[in-house]
Amino acid sequence: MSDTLITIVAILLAAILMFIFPLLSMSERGDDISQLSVATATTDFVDNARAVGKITLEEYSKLISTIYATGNSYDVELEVKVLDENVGKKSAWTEGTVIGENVYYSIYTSQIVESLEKNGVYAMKEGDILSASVKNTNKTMSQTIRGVFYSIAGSDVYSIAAQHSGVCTANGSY
Amino acid sequence: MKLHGLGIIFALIVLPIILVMTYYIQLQVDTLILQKKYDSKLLDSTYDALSAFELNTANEDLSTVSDSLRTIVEASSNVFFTTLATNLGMSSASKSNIEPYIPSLLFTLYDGYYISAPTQVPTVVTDIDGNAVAVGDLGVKQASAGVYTYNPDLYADSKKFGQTPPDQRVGMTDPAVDGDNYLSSETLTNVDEFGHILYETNTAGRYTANIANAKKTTKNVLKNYMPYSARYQQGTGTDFIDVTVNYTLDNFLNIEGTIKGEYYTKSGYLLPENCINVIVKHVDENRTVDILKYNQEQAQEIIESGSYKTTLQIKEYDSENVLTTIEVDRPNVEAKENNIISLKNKITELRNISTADSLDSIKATINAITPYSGYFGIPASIEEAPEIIKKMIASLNVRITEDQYILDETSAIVYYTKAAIFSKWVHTELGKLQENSIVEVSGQKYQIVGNDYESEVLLYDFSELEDTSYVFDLKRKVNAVTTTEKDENLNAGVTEINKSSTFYRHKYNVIRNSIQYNLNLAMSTYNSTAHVAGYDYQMPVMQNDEWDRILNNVSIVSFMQGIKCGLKKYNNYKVVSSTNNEIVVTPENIYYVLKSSFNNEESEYHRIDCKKLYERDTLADYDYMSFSSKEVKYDKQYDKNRFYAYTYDHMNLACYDCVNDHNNEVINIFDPSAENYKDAPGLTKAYYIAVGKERNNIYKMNAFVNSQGYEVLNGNTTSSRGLNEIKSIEVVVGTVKSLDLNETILTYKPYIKSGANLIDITDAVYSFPANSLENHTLTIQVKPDLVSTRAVGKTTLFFDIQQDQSSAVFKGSQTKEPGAGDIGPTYGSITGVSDEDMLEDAILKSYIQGIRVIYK
Repeated sequence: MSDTLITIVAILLAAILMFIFPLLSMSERGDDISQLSVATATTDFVDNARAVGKITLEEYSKLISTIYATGNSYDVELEVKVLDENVGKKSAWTEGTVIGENVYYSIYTSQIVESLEKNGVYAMKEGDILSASVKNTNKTMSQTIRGVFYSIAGSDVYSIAAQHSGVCTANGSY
Repeated sequence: MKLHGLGIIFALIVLPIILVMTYYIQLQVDTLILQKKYDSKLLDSTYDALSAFELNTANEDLSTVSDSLRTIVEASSNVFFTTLATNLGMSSASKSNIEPYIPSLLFTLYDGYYISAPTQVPTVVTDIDGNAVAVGDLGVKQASAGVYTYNPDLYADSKKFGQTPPDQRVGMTDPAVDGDNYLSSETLTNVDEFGHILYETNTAGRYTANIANAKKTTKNVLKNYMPYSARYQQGTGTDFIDVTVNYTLDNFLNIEGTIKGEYYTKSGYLLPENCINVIVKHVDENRTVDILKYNQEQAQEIIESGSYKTTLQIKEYDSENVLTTIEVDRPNVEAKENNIISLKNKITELRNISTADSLDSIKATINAITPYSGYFGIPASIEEAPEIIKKMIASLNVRITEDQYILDETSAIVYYTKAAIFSKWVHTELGKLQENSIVEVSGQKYQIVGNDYESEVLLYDFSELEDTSYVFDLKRKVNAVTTTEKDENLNAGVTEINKSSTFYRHKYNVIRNSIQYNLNLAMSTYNSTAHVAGYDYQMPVMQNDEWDRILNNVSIVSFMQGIKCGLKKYNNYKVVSSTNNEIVVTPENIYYVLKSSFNNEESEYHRIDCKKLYERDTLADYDYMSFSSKEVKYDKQYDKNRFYAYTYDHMNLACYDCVNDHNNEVINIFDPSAENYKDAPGLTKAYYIAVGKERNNIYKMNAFVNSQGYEVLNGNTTSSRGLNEIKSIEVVVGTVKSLDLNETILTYKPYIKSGANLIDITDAVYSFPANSLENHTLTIQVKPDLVSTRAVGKTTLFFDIQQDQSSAVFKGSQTKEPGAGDIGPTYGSITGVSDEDMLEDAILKSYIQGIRVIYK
């Protein structure tokens, strides 16, 4: 009786050790590689855009196709903080205590993508700040397997995420 | 085998593999992430360097003068290293650790470029004051032949002795008076080294005067300025052309060289053929001047003189339809400029009124500003002052704007007129210059790409081009290959050089070849001396769109290579282009504002393609003021003690539909196929004024002061070109003897003989001393509007002496100087000229040493 029980436990342990653990490990490596390509694509996208001063539809499509090639689905969030050049001039600064009059207003993904679809280009100017953030929205295999053993509470759990941002260095044009 | 046996084997084999794989992949991930981090840091540092460059050019009046520009570039390169060191987590003091990894920094400027690259330099020995120490100086001794020791304390002691008052020098001696502290040239083995600078060697405490034995350190050095130039040789015999063309980022050119026997130095802006008309009318005398036949400098003088009314017409491409007209009536440029300066000074006085000033002193300042005393009221309290000051400044600004607008128009007309004169010359003289006649690029021999692998392989092979491919062919390519090329045709005015033209492509290839060659050279030279072991510095291949950015505006390209980055060595470069600098103005970086609301903080400035601006312009005929983007970026001043802590020279606000966020609907007023073409005449005019005046007002550091050519006439030869192309004639006269020693000055009026008639070539008379032992040069300014094509030479010149009773030349029957041969007229008779006058002319001409004809 006890032998049988130990055998079953041993088989179970062996199954976990020989199949599930390697599978989990390999899928986690897969996620690492996805993470790598997503991080690279995001950084490239942001740095290119801020170097030339514009986001082009071509670059954006390249970002999307690169990250989707990892086999997961993603949520891409873009934000351009547009520098308002007028703040200092609009108010009469009669006091000498004002510090840092740079004010930005933000344009988000939907507006940027709309402009990309319409004009093929979203132009920025020197001093604007571009940031991009990418997260996976599906459950990757490693997340599923891990979920069998333990689960992390919360709806926006992701294992692949990348973000990058920087100041735009040139005035972009169409 | 039992199950647990299998399990153990599995664990022994598979688990290490998994662990190693995990570790390895993690390393790869870290490497790539680190690489991306370096990319960002490199880009940010390059941007910082460019910002420093922009700030320095904006705040330095002489920033376009080459020496000043060099210091600005050096400063910018310093900023790059400091920022990069800080970004990489080092202190800026240890930036020298980064320098070896930057094989070069490229600064592409307006008409040339700088390469900053690490170079091995010998370490010079210096004393405590930083002066270089030489063999023979205090404390330098010879250890053995060519090897020296140096005791710096002796110099310090001597300095201390010198600084101590004589009465306190008790117990002190001056080592400088002790002959033993010096190395005498008699005891020196290598006598030649006496006085040479001393260098450190690799042995501590031993120094050398031989640079080959010196200890070398790597230092970033800005190499010589390289121009974007190309030399062309074409034709044989009298048709031989040998010219060097210096290109720039825009359409400005310097051309120097021999064209068919005449030597030319010309600077100017190149325009497409047949795009403008200029009508210049002398208002008082009611006559027109054919200005395009003048020399560039003469034309500018006429337009700015204040006596002429000038009308400039810009014509539609390939047609006679006038697109826009710019007109100025007798602009007195100097008076207007002075008036603006005085008005601006008044504004400065008002702005300098401080919150700490007393009411009385504020009142006094306001009262002193004429002609506004009391017009806007006198403040009864300090609180009322800001409002009155504001109104006065606004009113002064309106007056400045009116004058400035006329100056801008004049400046634009000068630009287009000079450019048209220059372009006409280029198209006539060099219109058939072939691309494949290029022989040098930036002073280096251009070598043909061939099977010989030892020859320098250049990017672009000009030699394979057709003979009909001309350098200065500015025509639009109707069958432009890509849509981008077609679009580029339509995004700028007709006076801009088309990006699909042969000229543009040629210029692009010349500049690109030059930069690529020299950058490659700098990197491979560095590679042979580099300190990073096991790494080959190489020039990466840059992409076409990056070259486009480099060649469109001032840019900095930074290369970082060889730094350890995870599993590999980092190798990348970053390009950052400037949009706000003092050196280049690109039409898309010019902003426009209604003239009536210029410098009014309640109105906006716009880009040329702004829909808001366009819609208003279609309603009425407006005038616009324009300024380049750098003027708004760098014009803010802050002083917390003033009534207005922040002051701006350009108070207009940036439009939210174009300047702040350039993603709204745009209107292209240059596209003839678009429905809104020609609907906005005010904007079209504003664009041409803006581009013209911005370019005209840029100081061109390498431009030739006088755009002209010359030909030296020997003996009785005559000029190869006629009077209509001649700007002036330089005649060198030797000693002209006068029988009457009281007659010290001789005055002549020169003419050109044409058949039996004389052509009046100048309004002036020319004098020089008689009996002088030196040669004198008479520079005869030829009237610019002559139409005669008569050639100039000793035989066609006629000098009419102005003194009736001159004894300078032999009178009456005296036809020869004592002891000399006969002097007689060398040509036939002239209507209305006596034989005596003819003789006097002939005598003067016998003293002519040489003639140089200056062409327009």
